[in-house]
Amino acid sequence: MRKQVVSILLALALCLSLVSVPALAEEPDHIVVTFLTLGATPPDLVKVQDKVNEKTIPQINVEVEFKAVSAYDAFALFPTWVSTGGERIDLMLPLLQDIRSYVDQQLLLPLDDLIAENAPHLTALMEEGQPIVSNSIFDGEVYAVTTVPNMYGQGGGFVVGEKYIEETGFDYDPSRVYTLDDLTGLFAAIKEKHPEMYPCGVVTTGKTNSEFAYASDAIDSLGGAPTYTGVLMGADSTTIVDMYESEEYQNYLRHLREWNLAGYIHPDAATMEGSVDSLKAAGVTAGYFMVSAPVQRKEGDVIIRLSEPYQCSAGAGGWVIPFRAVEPAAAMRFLDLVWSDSDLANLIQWGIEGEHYVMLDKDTGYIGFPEGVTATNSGYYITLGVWGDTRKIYSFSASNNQAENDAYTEEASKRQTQGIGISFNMENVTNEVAALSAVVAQYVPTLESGSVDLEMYYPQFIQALKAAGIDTVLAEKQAQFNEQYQK
Amino acid sequence: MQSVTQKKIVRANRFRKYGPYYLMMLPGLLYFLINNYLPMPGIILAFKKVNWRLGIFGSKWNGLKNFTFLLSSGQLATIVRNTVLYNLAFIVIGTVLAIAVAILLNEVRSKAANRIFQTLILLPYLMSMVVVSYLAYAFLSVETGYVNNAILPALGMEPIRFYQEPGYWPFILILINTWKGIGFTSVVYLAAVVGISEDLFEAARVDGASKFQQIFKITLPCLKPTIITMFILSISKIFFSDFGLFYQVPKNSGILYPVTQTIDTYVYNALMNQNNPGMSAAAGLFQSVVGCVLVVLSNALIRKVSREDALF
Repeated sequence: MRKQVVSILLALALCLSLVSVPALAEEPDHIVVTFLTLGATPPDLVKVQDKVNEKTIPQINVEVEFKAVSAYDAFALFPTWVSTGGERIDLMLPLLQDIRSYVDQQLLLPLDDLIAENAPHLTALMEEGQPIVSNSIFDGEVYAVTTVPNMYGQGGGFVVGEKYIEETGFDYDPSRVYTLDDLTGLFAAIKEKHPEMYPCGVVTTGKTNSEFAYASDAIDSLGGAPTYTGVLMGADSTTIVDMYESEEYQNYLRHLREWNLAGYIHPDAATMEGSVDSLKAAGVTAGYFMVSAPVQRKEGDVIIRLSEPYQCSAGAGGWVIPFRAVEPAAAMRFLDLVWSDSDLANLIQWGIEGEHYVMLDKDTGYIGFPEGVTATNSGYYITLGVWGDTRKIYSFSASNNQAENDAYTEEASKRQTQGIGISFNMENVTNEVAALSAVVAQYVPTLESGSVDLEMYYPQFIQALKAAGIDTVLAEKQAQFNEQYQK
Repeated sequence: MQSVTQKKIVRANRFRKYGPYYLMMLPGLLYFLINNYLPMPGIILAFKKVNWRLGIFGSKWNGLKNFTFLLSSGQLATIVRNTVLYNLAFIVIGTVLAIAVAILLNEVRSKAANRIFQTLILLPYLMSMVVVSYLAYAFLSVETGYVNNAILPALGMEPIRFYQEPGYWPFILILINTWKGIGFTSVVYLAAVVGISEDLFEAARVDGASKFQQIFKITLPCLKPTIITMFILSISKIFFSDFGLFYQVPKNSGILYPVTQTIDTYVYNALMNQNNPGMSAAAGLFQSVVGCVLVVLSNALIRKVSREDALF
């Protein structure tokens, strides 16, 4: 009896192995891809991963494994993961991190050959002129692929709840450029109606850089370099200057100080927790400084423009392949498919249709939550837009649509700064940049919250920048600009 | 012949006697070996321009370039002064108060009360500095802080923007550090105080010594070795600072840097966005070397003053 069972099992095993032999030969390439979250891993990530694999295995023979990691933790984790090889990663997104430092330490693979051999769609997008790799070229080699932007341009702006505009009778025109003095009038009117509110939402806790660009005309720091290394001010400028010394910046600080003293800015603005939009949502503030692009406008808000929109050079960034990647070619094939197949990109971005979202308007790509699902109880709701062609990614807001984005891009393209296509290599001035970043972290959060006397601290700030070597950095940046501008 | 067997017996006896102690030492020794000695070759990073494809040892040498950023900031004097002066203040104030508390605790006769006091004093030591920073914020913030909303108005005073006023912070930081650390150090001293033979006190009482005389003539001299050991241990850390205390508690408020910035927070602020292992290793090595030199120097000084109390 036992023998019989064994022989049946053996026969069965033989059959199974015969069946699965062709599949074994075609075993898909397994890749590990970082999946950035804002803290909590979505519970349905594995479900979505299975759906993704249903598409990628037949199409490109790649099996994807998402490795969830908080975008905040990624700053410390990624460099150690890829330098020591402690974790296997084939494709990762060092969001808002300095790609150049990875390249300098030779932690990344150059992507030119990988793209040429594995990514026909990416190549087509590049030929179309989409800036998906152009900002991440170091020493002639491409190191990162970023999303196809749905909009290209920026400008100073102040986001404010529409109800406050209506209440105060503020003379609002979406395309008019307002001054900081106009805002003073608006804040005063809001404060009068709501004495318990702080109309101007400013939180500078832990800020390591200035927010002046949100309140000023065109500023270009060349390829996403920190603004304290020198900027071009104005669309036509070809002179690298220290923006902190400019009359415009002093004017900005004077306004912030005036608003703080008048009670338009929260007294704990330099030390409190919380983001400007959460404070606005809680009704503590009425608005905040932000880029004037339409995507920054939430339901029920308007954007007061503080400058004409413009286009400037952009920073390096995007998806990279670490030098220890086991399957770099498969990783590139996956990237290529997500960037060309908008259904796949939307699946990774918003989850499974009917379960995590429902389509409300097919034409504009407007989606909403299904019955009983909300942002907080959804099994899959990640708002980081880091996948594929963002022009074709659906939106949870009816107020943004691609037509509006295109109009903004069109408008911005008429004012391009002179820094486009130029980047700044900080290698020769590393010490000065480290010292400058410390000075900026010391003074900017306090000055830009308006909580201290300018007479006393502003001259100290400028003096500290000089002591940290700002003039050396400006000269180096100007020299690099001149050299690249000629070409 | 006989002496050899005798030696063997002595050795076996010694092992029987001290074996368990060696065994007890083993986990600690292993910890130091793995955690502190194994990574030592990594200090080579401080002299390298790191290239991970070549590995740490294969990377190019970078001379002393990684060290120059500490000097080029122009802030070295301030941050070194803050680090050293705060640590000195912590050592002096912490020691004096911890001994006082230990002696007082020793005088509490009720066992239950003694336990309760010890626990209450030790509690802050077990708290994370992040939690402490929020406790401090609950006291000091302008909009909701207890000091600004309850205490100062009651005294008829204007609110104070603590996080923008450098003048208050040396006191606040010393207060917080002492409050947080005193529980632990006083327990260490309490153990020493309890260990002092009761005979000495009895004899003193018979001779009519007052309580203060007993403290100054018996307790303190008996505590001297413990005080010196604790002192040398603290000196070795004089170039290091409690990152949480100097970064979290003042909420990293820049205007306070002249009185709150220490070597650790400066290095963090300057290198956080740089992803430069070479420079970070250089800063760490600098702190360790200075700490090591200070330990040797302070031990030499103690050897001069009172030979039998020196550590080595």
